[in-house]
Amino acid sequence: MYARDDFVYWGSPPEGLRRLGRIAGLDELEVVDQLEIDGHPRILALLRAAG
Amino acid sequence: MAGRAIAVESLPETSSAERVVADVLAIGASVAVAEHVRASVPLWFHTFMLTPGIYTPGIARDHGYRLAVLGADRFTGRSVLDVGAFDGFYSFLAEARGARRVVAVDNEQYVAWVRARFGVTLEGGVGFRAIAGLLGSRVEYRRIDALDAGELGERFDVVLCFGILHRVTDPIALLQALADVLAPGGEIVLETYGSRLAADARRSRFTSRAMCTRAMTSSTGAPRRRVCGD
Repeated sequence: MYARDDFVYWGSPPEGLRRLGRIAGLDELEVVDQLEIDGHPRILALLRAAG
Repeated sequence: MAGRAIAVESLPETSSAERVVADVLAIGASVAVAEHVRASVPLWFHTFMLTPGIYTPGIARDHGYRLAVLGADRFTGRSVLDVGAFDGFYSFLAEARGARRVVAVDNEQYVAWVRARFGVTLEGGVGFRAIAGLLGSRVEYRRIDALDAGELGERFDVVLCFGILHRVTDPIALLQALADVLAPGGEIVLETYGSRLAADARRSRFTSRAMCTRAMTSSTGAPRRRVCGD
């Protein structure tokens, strides 16, 4: 991340990220943090495959 | 022939918040070496504390919240892949916090970005190598795209994917590529752009910014489109 970051194609709400992960076989999503930085929402999360 | 004038930006100042992040990976070089290394790299992305009071002037900012998931309990005894590593702050942090093996990959597209945006000519991986030398690091650096992580031929307990997913044209392919190199029980530590569009949570997987919709449409060779609403 850097100032005036304009190289961004996508943004995902948590549920959207969960669905993306499932497509890739990552069935577990743990959202650690959601915050707004530089005017943009960010997600910090852990993705895991089912054990 | 007259060259085309290119507007470039001045390098942004390093924020005090980034120095706080840098302090978790104290390097401890001598002042002379620290000053030499700091000056040897024409643009730093990450802020490193080379020795107390001497920091690299990193342009990355506002990523201190990532530290919450980067404790020693995440790394000790585990193998780690850091994609889009740039100067490698998180790779070196993983190593310092007990990872048994760390591989850092970057496709070095930032070389063109740095030249276009800041008018700086930067050799790919130069910052990474400078810090690796100071630390005597065993982190392995490879110039490959995250989508080609399978070429590494190994699996990892932890994959760090910071600030990348929202920048790729095919986010599902990237997640699949990273999932494919996870060891059983492994995990991806992911940081990406969220969305304010709560309604999207019901049906959509992601939203696209208007300017990027234009860029992607253009990259396919399709005629120009007008984006209605953003």
